[in-house]
Amino acid sequence: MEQDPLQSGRRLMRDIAIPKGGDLLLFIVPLVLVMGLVGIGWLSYWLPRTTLASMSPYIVVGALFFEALVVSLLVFFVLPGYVRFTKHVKEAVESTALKGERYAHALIGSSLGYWEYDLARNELFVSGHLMAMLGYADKEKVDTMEFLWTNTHPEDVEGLKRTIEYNFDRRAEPYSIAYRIRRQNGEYMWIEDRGKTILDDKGAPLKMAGITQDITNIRRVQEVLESRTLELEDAKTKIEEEIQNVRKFQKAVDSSAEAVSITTPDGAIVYVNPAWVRLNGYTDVEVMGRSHRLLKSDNMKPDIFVGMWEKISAGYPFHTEEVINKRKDGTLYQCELSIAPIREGNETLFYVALCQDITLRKEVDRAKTEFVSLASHQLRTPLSAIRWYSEMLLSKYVGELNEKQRQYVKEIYAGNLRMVELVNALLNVSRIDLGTFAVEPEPVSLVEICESVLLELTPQLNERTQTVERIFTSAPATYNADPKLIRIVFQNFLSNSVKYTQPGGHIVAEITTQGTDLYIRVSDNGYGIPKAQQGKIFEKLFRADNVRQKDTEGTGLGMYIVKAIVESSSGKIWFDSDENQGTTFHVTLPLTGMTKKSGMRGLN
Amino acid sequence: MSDSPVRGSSILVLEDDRQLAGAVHDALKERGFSPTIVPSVEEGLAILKSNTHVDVIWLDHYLLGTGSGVDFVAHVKNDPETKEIPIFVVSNTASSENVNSYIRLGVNNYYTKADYNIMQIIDDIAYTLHNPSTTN
Repeated sequence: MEQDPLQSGRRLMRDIAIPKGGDLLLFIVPLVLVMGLVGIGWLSYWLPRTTLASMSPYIVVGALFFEALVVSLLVFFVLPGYVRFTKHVKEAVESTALKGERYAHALIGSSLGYWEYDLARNELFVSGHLMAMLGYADKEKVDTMEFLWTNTHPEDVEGLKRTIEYNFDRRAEPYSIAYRIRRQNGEYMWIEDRGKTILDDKGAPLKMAGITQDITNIRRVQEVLESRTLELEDAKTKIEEEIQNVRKFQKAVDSSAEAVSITTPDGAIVYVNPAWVRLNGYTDVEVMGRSHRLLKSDNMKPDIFVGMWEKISAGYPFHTEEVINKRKDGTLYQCELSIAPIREGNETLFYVALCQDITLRKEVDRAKTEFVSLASHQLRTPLSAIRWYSEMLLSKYVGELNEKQRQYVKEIYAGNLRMVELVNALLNVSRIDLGTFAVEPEPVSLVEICESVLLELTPQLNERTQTVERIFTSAPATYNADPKLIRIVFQNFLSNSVKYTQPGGHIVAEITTQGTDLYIRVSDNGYGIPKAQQGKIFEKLFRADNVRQKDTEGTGLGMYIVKAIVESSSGKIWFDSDENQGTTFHVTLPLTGMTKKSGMRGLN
Repeated sequence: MSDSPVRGSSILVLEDDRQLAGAVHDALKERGFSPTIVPSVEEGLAILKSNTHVDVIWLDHYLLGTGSGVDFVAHVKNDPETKEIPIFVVSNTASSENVNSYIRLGVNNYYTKADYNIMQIIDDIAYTLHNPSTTN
């Protein structure tokens, strides 16, 4: 185990103490040598003048030998100590150098720079590697703390100072801080210092030393991670909000009274709400992944589903009231079904189906319609009686009526005709609503039918001095239509035009072909339909405000019937109208003719 | 009208409504027909079987008792004795099924009461009797 360099230094110093008396010896040996030589010199001068002159060479030689002996003894006793000392010193130097080298290698190998800050002298030492890290050449001086204070990023310098201060006070140990420092080229880099304060014997801070690591890359990674973390947190918040929304919607859907189901584009059920479960008797577990076909009853017309798939797979919502479903227990119910394809771009993600049990509503509707039908029918017998008796009164064979009587009976007759018309219209509507009206096409001349309607209207046209323009030149010679139905269309268009156009007005009737369609148009320059009410024109019992005041005789059923007739043969009906400018009704029907439809009754 | 070619033609009328039966009776009489009015299929068939001469039949769809106009026409057309008698159905029931049944069984025409003047119907009947080869 490596020892603290300071510790191992002290030990070395203790081990290799300078040999005892060594210093004295270094002083004594030359002294002895000089003194001996001086003494011997004096002997060789003085002795020849004494009585011992004859003995002097021997005494001098003896003295020389004696001095040589003393010096040799001194050297002999002291030298080995110095040899040992030298050896120890050499070892110590080597080991210190080795340790220093190890630390230097370790620091360089780990890209760490080393620094030392001498508090008393305000001197800063930085290692060559640290200099290089900061972009300074070795020889440049980076030697005071001023360097640090001036080059640390302004935002970080206060923190750095405080951290160093706290570390000196030993409030925060060890010293560790990351901050930005300006390199020689002016760019800032992120570095991290770690170090410790070195205390003197009394515990006062003496120095601070440590290492510095370039953490620019780490910091960059950290920044990326931080921004990613922020992004992730944002995403998480959004997801949580979404989940909240989804929960809200799920709760709403769960508690909906209407049966809701969601299927994949292939039709596999992935969700049903509790109302669906109540309605159909299957549990959600039973139906997951299965198709809605499990509700299919034998009473269903398959073409409804063909049409449904065509629509929803093209991305359009689908709505029908014609679905008869079978519950788990085998009972049937009529279902009002709405399917909405949920799409993203061109891809259908899933279908949402809403289903409502309308059996009761349909029964009530039917009962009402049947009641209207029956009541209207019952009305026809007394109406026939009024018609026939008033007709017979007018025909004079029971005697001549006076003028007033005749006028009154005429009024009775006319009122009766209106009533017959109204009852017929009510019956037609009830047949349309019951789906029992028949379409029986046969080749007819549309021009003839139109002309016969115009002939009927001649009295009114004359009375109101209205003109009729006929555009029949490109009308087909015959057309496959139910004569009664097509007559109702012309009758309604033309009689409306007559009724709702001012005296002297102009009416246009056109029959022609357009591509694969038959095209019928009736225009007038009359009162027009108020914009606000144009959306209701085909509704049952609708009468526009501006005409209700001018004419009290309309039933408000005609256009409803006309629309049903046109649409039963895949035709289209529309209009344009401006108040006080006039109205144009357009109808197209397939040139192939009206579609045959068997039913209980034709329309009257 | 007194010169009507149908003067004295006997017409069997099956109509159960008192008011309408009265109107039909009077109007036919006025045009020179001799009408016999019965309210049910049974009574109508009884008249035909009683060797009473019948030139033409006026028939309502819904009648008193069991059986409708359709049953009556079926009987008449199945009997060689009576199958040539022209039949005019005058009813307020415009069911196309019914109308088709009548047309298939070979009636001469079908009228919805409330939509026709009584004289129009009688004119049609008179025309058919006068021109027996014509069928509408």
